[in-house]
Amino acid sequence: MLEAQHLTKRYHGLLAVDDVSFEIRAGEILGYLGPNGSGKSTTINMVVGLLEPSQGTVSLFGESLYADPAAYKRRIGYVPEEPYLYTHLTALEYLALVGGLRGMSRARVAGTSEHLLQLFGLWDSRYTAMSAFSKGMRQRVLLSAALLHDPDLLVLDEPFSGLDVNASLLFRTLLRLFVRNGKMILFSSHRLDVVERVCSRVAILHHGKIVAQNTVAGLRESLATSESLEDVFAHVTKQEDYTEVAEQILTAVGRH
Amino acid sequence: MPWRETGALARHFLQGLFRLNFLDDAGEESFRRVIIGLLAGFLAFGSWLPRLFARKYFYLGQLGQADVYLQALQADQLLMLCLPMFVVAMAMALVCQSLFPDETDYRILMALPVSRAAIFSAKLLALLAFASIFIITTNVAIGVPFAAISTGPLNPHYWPVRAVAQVAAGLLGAIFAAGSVIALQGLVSIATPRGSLRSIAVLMQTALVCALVLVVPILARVPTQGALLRAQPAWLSVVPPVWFLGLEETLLGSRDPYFVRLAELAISGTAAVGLMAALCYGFVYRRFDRVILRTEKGGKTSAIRRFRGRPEYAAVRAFTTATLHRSGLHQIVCLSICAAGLALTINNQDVLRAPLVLMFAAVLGLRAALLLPVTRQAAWVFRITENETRRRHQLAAVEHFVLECGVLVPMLITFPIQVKMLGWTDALVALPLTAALGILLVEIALLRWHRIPFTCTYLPGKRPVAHTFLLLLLSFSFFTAGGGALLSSAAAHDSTMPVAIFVFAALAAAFRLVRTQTNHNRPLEFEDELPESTYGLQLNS
Repeated sequence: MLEAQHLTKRYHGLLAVDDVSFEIRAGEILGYLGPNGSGKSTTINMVVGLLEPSQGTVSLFGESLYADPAAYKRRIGYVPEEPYLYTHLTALEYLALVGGLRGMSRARVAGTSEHLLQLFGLWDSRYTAMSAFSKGMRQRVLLSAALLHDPDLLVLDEPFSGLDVNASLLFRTLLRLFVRNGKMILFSSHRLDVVERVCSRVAILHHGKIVAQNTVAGLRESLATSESLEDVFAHVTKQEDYTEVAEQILTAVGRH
Repeated sequence: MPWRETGALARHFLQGLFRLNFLDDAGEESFRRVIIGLLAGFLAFGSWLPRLFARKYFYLGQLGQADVYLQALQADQLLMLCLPMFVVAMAMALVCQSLFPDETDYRILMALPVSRAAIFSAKLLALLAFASIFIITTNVAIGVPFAAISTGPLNPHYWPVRAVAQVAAGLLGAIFAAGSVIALQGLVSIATPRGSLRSIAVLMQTALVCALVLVVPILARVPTQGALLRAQPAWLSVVPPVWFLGLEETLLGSRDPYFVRLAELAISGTAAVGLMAALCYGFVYRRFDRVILRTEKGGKTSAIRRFRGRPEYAAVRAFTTATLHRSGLHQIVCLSICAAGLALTINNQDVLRAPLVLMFAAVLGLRAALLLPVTRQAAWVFRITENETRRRHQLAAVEHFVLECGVLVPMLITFPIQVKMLGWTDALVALPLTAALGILLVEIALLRWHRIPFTCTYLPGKRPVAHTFLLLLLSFSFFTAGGGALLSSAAAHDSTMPVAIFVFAALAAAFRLVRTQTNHNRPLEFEDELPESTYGLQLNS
């Protein structure tokens, strides 16, 4: 189980994440939602150990990230929001690099990489520098790298950006099957339709605070609504009716 | 022609020519400090140089021998023509990847209601402005003071006339240098197959920068070539800077057929490279999408050598090798510093010191290249996997890489030359001491090194530029002169040599111990930081 307790992050006095707590149980996919600038990526960076919280703790199966970062990081896989890769490397070289950095044996890295690249449809491009890859291809490389060491927790920050319909379907199915053996996923996305379909529970962040946390059905129930997750999201994050703003934008454009 | 759009684009392109994309905002701010430091250094040097020349011409004037005076004057005129040509060629070579509109320009600007003509005009304007900055400042800053200083009773021309001739010839020479680089880059862009354009362009840029660095010792010797110029050998007509000396002399009224011929070469040569550059621009303009838009489908890379050892060690070695192998920026930085070492070695002609000079340049070049980040946002993968147990092996990979490329390769290059010049015995005797000195150099260079190559942001100019320069100069002098003296003793079969080898090996071991112990406790660096302590003026003491 992943436990994030009272996570808080301040940047020069500015509160980006304010006392956020959540847990992901074995076999669960937690959807982590929030408007732009609500603190999602900051939380994720703290969960994967890229950012130190100003306050709070993160632990995986009782092992604290701060007590033994190496052991903690060994058990997680991460796909960042932007496909930041060393694009001068080939996909095969990148996976070899990640495997090496994770201390995996050469034989294991080679075997797993070959399978992953074949299954993700990247085998024919394995010797091509990733600078020539499309965003979707880079996203597939990132997911391969995150899965390479068979992690217990996958942390995915907008993993569907740039993916075509087929790849999205494959990813969705993959996520569902991944958690079958007691593994977990922290899934941050703006694609509420996907979140609604794959996530066991949802946590909604607003202005750095968790404003709702439950199953999708539970959220609907608590709000006494039968609307979609999008409407629930708009309700709990107090989204205003944008029709007026949209009209003002069009008027402003037309005026000049 | 939409001039406003073209003007705005030209400004954008011009700013881009001065931008260093591999630095973050803090790095660019730091870089500005370095530039200010360098300018201060140039100003100080620039005020010292005229005094040096003034003394020289005062002394020559006192001698009263017109022949000697004019011989020295001609050689110095050539140097003053070479310097702007060198600076302009170097500046153009450093930005030669941006001399033509590229794929980004195509994809972003062609989607806007901006015509192809506007994009090319803007790029050309930016290029002209960029080249003009260097062409005009170098020529005016060098030509006018030189003309004033070198005027004396033995000089047949009034100084403003000489200044005009010097600047005019210098301007044309610098235009020739700029045009040559543009034409060369244009030819490469047009003639290279799509798939290999990137690698060929990087190779050409690196070769150009290295060739220019190798030319520096020749430049330093130009003032001593007065007699050669007076002899007017025919082969000098293949050396472009000499054409412009001929032009200057012709402008000053000389009707010597040798100079007239050189002046003709200067004008026709400049016209030829100008025409070639224009044709290349025209060709790229006509076939913008075909020439510039590369699909990179053919950009297959050969698999990088696999390294033995622990996975984290092998990963860092492979990553370092692949990046240096494929990144143009890192290659240029590393190889141009190595080329400077090679130039010094060739100029020095001291066979015993040769490996030390090359080692110093190679270690310095490697260190500088490994410091520069590549795709700095992608370093998260190193951050997320960093830990105490792996750190040691990852840093060992860096150490071994620098030892192999910075010590072993220079020794392998120079050893056959030493054997040929000194004989087997002396070359073999010098070998262990050279190796010990090399290892010590690497230990000192990596003493505070605590990062995986290319993964940390970079803040240039953490020390004042003058401080860094002085430190480098002193270290270089101490390492090569001191090491060279020791190697000379070794060649003379000095019995204290085993002691010297032992002392250096012990020193290297001590540095290594300090480094590894420190590394064990500190996390790797991913964000470069300015030193916490400020340089106090200590006015109270």
